[in-house]
Amino acid sequence: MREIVLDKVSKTYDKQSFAVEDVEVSIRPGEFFVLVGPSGCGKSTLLRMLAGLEEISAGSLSLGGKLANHLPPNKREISMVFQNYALYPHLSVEENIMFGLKVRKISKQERKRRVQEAATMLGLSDYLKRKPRELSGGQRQRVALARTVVSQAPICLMDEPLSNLDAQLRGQMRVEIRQLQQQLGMTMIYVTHDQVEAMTMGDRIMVLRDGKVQQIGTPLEIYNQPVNKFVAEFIGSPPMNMARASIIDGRLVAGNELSIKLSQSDLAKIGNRSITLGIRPEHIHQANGQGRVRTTLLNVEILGNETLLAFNVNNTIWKAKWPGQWQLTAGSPIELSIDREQIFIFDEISEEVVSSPFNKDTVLEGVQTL
Amino acid sequence: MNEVMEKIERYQVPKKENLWQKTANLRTSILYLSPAIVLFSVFVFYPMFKTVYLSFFLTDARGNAALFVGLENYLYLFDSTSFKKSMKATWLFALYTVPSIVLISFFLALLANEKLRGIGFFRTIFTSTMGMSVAASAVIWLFLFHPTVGVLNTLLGYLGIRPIPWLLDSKWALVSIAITTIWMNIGFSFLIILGGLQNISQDLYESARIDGAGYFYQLFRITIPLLSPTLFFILIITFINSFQSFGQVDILTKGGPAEATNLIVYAIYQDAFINYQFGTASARAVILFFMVLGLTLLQFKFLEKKVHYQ
Amino acid sequence: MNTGRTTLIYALLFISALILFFPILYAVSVSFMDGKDVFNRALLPSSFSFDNYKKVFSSVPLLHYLKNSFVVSSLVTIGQLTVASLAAYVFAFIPFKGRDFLFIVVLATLMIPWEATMISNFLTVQHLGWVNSYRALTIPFFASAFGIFLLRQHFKSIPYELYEAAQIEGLTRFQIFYRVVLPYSRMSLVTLGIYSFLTTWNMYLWPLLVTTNDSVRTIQIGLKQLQTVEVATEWGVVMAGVVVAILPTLILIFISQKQLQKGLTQGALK
Ligand SMILES: Nc1ncnc2c1ncn2[C@@H]1O[C@H](COP(=O)(O)OP(=O)(O)OP(=O)(O)O)[C@@H](O)[C@H]1O
Ligand SMILES: [Mg+2]
Repeated sequence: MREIVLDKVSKTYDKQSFAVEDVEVSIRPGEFFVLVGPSGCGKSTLLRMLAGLEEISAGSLSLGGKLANHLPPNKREISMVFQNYALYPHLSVEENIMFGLKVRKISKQERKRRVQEAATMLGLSDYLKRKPRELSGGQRQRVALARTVVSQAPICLMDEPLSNLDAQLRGQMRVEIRQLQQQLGMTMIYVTHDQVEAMTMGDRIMVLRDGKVQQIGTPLEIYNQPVNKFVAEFIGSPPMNMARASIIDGRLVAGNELSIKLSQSDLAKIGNRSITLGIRPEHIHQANGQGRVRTTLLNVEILGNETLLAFNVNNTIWKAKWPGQWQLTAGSPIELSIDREQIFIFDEISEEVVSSPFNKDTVLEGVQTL
Repeated sequence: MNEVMEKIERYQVPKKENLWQKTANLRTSILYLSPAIVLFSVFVFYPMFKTVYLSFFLTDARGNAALFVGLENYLYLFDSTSFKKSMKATWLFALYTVPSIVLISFFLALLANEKLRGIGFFRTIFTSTMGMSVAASAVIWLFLFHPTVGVLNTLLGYLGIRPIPWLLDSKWALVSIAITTIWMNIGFSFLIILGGLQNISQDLYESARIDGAGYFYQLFRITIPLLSPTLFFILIITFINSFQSFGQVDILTKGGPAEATNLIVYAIYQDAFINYQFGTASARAVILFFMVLGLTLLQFKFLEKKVHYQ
Repeated sequence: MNTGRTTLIYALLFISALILFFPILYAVSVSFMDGKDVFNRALLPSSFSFDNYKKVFSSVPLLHYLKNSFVVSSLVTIGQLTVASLAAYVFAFIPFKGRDFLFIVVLATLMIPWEATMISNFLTVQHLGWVNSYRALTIPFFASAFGIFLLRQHFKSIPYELYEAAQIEGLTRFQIFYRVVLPYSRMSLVTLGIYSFLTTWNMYLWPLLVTTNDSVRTIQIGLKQLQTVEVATEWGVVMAGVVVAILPTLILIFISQKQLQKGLTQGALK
């Protein structure tokens, strides 16, 4: 098994701007590594550079300690699953699965054996004689996966493989792909723009924006300790609530609606920067005396196991997520409170985190409350 | 140099390739393209240049350039009544055939685009003349036009029309050839126009019908505008085809009577292969080339415009 | 739909079909007539016999001409498909400097009418000693700009993912060509094949120039012979020859009308 190391990898198409810039990461063997980011941020470009389908403009890629920048795709020991599955319409499911093996001159018996195995693993045994167009989306997806399985390549690359499936099937395939990866012990590099997929599937996630790496970490690290406003907003659903805020008399104030007392250390960190306040929906509760929000309810969505409340804070719509079912009427005034410990404060200009639940200097804080 | 390129030059991992590897794409491409390149060179480009070259010479009977005469061949042609007649016949012939072919095919395509039972049968019938060779078509029409045994005049007689001297009269001869040509060309034009019609999204008609638009409103406001690229394409192709007509002349009239049907290709043929005047024949061929070139350029112009509109 | 309109359309369809198809039907009818029927300008034969067909096969080597036409048309079809698909593959998939320029050069050949170059071509073929051989009738037509253009359009519609997937599987360029691209484009190859076959079968001027005896003479030139030589007065026999000559292409059209319509319009109009 081989480690994948990217060092200052950059890509430009037009020689004017970077599609991918200075990516540095090493991906461990057997890891499920997710590339996530909004459309156009360079995920596919990065993946295709790994596959050898796109030239690397600058920086180095090494596979198992060997420089691989100029290795042709088939020498990289990878398999790849494409968004539209890339099945050959003129071949049957079985021939599609075997296609690569035939080219690699693997014996007929071995081919048969591997196809049988993969078909059983993916529940395709009954469809082997069909043509791709006679399959459902989910089945086509499985055929593409089966191709990966039989290739026995140690590294698998997937580019938004689930984006053509409906929500329910996506949920199911997420689990299947994850299981498959663990069963085969392969290294997976998985591209998605769906943060739910990223959170649920990845061992580690890399968040990209405009071709630049924002943060690399485990799903929980990314969720709990986003390094900047972009990551904080991108990961999590509904996204983290944000509002421009200012410090007035040692209190954090956003519009007419919100006002929270801040600790001295937070105030010190903020200094006289312009700031944005961030708080996740699950950290906004029924009023209990802590940091106050007084506003009017805009909308109530009862989802069964939880309720989403929408309201206005400093001209932006915020959401609160409460467990359980709450019969509240839109348009009525409401009072809410915020977990002071869960507040994120971002620099308005650089968007970097100034203060977050995890970089609070708890020792000092403790001293103060004493 | 901008920042991007500076950075790239700094961190680039150079590819260690020799010339052989670097030109891999080029070499495969040339290999795959070579049959086409060789064939085009030998049978299209070389003969085109050769034809232009020959058109400046007097030649011997075996086609070798014998005496350079400059533009003499052209001047001779422009001066000769025979050439003028031939050109007039060629253009008149185009005038007779092109609009008729396009209109008739369009009409048939509109009919055959209706969703009715058995429409496939009619489509096939309308396409059938595409399978007719020029020789077979001309022979059939030769018989139909025949002054004594031809059935065409008989049929017209039922409609009260007096017998027409089809191939015997110099005016009618060109019409006769035009009729044969129109008939032969309908198949192909019909096929292409029908394809164009079927590429028009059905939604457009449905929304028009919901708005209460009648058949002719739909025809002039939806069908014809959207079909115009196809119609124009077929117009140009038919035009070019009409310039290239030969077989029907050879079998029906041999250019007569009194050179009334001496279309340009037939004139080239006679000059070169009957009279062995390769010089003037080449000059005629060059003129044909420019006529076709003009039409093709017209087509490109139109396509360009169309792109701008979209 | 209202029935009045439907009836009108059917009426128009029938009349048009009858007029358009009349010459062919009539040729078939005449091919069964004897001299008297022809002379009386009958529409249908008074008695039904195959005499004219027997006669036409005995008076000219019609079978031999047919065979020649088959050989020539098949060779040209195969040649065009091979040359055009190789070229189209490069134009659709393999980038190199100057490719676009070359493609324009290929398209430019569409502007040069065959008739404008036939004099020099004839001299070339004569010089090569190809007159009265299959070579003269086939090789000059192996490269077709239309074919290259048509196939390139179809190849371009192949999802690029398929090409990349094949690269990852480790297929060589040529393997991608014949294991992915060609099978994927079967239908357009068939279309082009039918089209080449039809046009070659119906070719007239060139075979007239390069065949001076019966050895490789095609059926079209055979028809001209038939019509000019002694049988000229026996129209029944001539029409029998015509029917024999048009039967293969008509059958081809009847089988493939739909296919041709789809395949040609996609290529020509995109
Ligand atoms: N072949 C190309 N030529 C030029 N620019 C390209 C090419 N491919 C991608 N780009 C540009 O590079 C940037 C990154 O594109 P990329 O396809 O990697 O985005 P992505 O993150 O995969 O987006 P999506 O989620 O929409 O698939 C985009 O701005 C895109 O316009
Ligand atoms: Mg992408």
